[in-house]
Amino acid sequence: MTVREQIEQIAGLLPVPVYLVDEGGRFLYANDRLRRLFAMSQSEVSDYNIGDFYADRPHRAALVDKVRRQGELIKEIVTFTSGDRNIQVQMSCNPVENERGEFLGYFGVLVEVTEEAQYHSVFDAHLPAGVYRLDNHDRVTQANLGFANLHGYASADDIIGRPATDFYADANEAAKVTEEILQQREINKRKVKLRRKNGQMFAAYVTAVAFFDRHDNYAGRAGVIEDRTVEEQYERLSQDIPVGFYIVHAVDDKDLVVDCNEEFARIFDLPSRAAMLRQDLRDFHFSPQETAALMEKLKEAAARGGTVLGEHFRIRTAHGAVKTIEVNARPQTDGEVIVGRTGAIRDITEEVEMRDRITALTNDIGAVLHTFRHTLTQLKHNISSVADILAGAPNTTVRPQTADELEEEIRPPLHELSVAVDRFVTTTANVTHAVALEKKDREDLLRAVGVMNAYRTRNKAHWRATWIDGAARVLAICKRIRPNTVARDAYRPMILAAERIGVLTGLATLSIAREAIAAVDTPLESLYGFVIGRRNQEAKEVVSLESCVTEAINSLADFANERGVGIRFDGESRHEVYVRRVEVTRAIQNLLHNAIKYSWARGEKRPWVSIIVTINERAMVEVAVENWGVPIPQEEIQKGLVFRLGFRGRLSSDRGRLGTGVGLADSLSVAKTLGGSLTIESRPAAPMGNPREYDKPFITTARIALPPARNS
Amino acid sequence: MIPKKILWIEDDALNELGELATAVYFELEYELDFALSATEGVRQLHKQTYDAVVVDVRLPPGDDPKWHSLHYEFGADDKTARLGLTLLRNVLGRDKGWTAKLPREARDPKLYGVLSIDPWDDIRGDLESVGVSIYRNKKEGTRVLLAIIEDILQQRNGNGDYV
Repeated sequence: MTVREQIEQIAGLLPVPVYLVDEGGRFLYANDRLRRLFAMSQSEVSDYNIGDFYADRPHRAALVDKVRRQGELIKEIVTFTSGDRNIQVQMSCNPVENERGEFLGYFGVLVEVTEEAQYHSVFDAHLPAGVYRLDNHDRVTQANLGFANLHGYASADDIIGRPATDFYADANEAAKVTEEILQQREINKRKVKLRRKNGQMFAAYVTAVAFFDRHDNYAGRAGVIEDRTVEEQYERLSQDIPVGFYIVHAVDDKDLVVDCNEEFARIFDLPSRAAMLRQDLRDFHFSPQETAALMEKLKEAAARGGTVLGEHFRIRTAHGAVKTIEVNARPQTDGEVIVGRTGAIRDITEEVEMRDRITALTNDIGAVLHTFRHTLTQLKHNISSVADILAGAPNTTVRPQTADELEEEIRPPLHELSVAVDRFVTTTANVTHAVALEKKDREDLLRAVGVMNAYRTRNKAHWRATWIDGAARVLAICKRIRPNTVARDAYRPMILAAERIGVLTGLATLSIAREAIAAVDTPLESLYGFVIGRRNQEAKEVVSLESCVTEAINSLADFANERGVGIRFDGESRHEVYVRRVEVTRAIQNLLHNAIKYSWARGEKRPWVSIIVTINERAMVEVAVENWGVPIPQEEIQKGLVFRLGFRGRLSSDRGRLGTGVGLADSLSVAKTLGGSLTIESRPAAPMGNPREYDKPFITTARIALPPARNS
Repeated sequence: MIPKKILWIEDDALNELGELATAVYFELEYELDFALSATEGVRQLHKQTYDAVVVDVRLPPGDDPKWHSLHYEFGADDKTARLGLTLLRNVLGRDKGWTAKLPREARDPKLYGVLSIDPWDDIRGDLESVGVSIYRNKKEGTRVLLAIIEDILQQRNGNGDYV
């Protein structure tokens, strides 16, 4: 019997795939099991080459080389491909000679290990954890690639035989872990600090089970290590940020803390996280009512599968302090029962106190503003009454208003006064009547009239004050005329003329006072609306913008009249917007008030403000309020300074104009809330030489644009 | 009698504070000039010799770019810029800056008084550093302008400088 026949006879009996191939790999023989493995028929055997079945063809060349060098292959893992299936086998192989001693081929035996190989592949290369086994001296006897890689080694072979202490950051901790295992026989996810080959530390969980021999002697342990570097970073972060994280288990009407960060413990005034663990949170709740309300919220959240967010809740801390916290929690349920919750809390005690203080302060400011406005209204009425008395008729339009008008009206009485004083002084210069008035008083009379008549050489701003002061001086001197020393007719014209001058200048002074009140009244109203309005917001409605403009005009009619400024508005059209009427009217009122306040006369004509309502290029309804007068520097517009609360423009306080710096900020806030915009433009009315030349009138246009009702 | 020349550097001289001028007019002894900004103040001091100069602390810059930049540097707010004090420092201090060409008469600290809303304690140091000792608060009443003018004239007279 030839060697080949012997092989075929034995191979036919073996329960594993067996083959014989020549030097090049062509099959000389394949038993039944091998043919089934590679799906070959008996007649085809010699047509196939084993190399065709290698998943990795160069692998065969390496193995042939190895078998030549070593004379055999023992349990080499090889992957074959048959059809669309990968097959892992343990291959053992020997070169075989024929009966003449010549090389016959390679005789191989395969043991299929596909499932086992897959398991090993996962275990060794792909398991994202380190699996290990230690002997009774805590030396590594087995480890997967994951274990090696976690510790910075290239392969598991590099760590076999090393003591466990090599892998711990601290040898004491390694001893402690062993001690715990000996006592408890197992540990589960114990947090440890491990060390890589390069000395770098990393955080990990260790899980292990100890083995004992039949005499109950420690025989080693097997376990898993898991990298928790990222988790530890999160943990550290959670310790650093001012938010308390926690996990609570609900047991028998108790909310037991099973985990939390340091901040959580700090909020409850406990010294550490450890002190907080296993505490019943309900012991810290401020009142049973608030606890019940929170539980109700949690139930609702659980029912809809959601979370409780931003709930304000009071606690009494370990020090007895009452704090307000913001609770954010997700209930954990088992069926319909709430078994606990996870969440985050924030200490908002100061925030709440601050908010309360601001509310109280806002109320105070509102009350003060209300009183101011009330006082101003009263003052305005009183001024009107005094004006009526001075003028000798009710409902007098307070006139004259301007220095020019006053000069016009005062010229006749001033002339009468001069003539009367001259006549009186001449009369009393006579010895017979000299006793009527002291010489100094006579001189003062002349001086007063002289000053009053010298008004043309002075600034118009001072005329009124000079006249009213002069008239008062004359009347005071007249009171000192000794009775029965001179005929009454000699000084009566003097008194009448001085009184007339006093009335006219008095009326002008009242006019200025009323104008000042009107000037400050709207800003105050605006400030009041700005402060209080936010809390008492009315509902939105569809209104015609023209009606808001009309309302704003009516409320400022008095002010415009005092200032001598006309308002031009054609309210015939109707543009509807969906807004809060009071707010929009106030916003327009602010713009109109500014336009009146900063208007100058256009040449000889009386100044006016024009208001136009249109649809702009962005299809928004727009109110444009335009006036000629005080410029707004470009810088203030470009930087948006004009819209800042409390901002007073560089040129806005000229001519003593009053203001609070609230109007434009308020109008902008109203426009923005309603989805609109506010723009300001200031351009020279006539070409200018020098851009700093702000004494010529500018055209200022304020535009408030709002979305039309149909879009809202 | 030749009326004495008075300069009042005050931006509000023609508005609310205008009434303070009335008492001065009725004395018939003074010729009152106004300067409504720091620029105008320096300009007037170049143009004319005065017997008394009353200066406000919170002055606007006026149209001179140098005063403008200074005003911006100090926050573009009259209240914090206190250009009145800067004006006095420039005119009377060592660092003459852009007031170097002012006539010698204008450099006498006794010529100046400060009429301001700022309390004396707040500006005392600045005023003393340039030798100005006359100060009155605007809140004193309608005759305060006349009073400070008389203070200045009396101080100059007392020292034999007043002519």
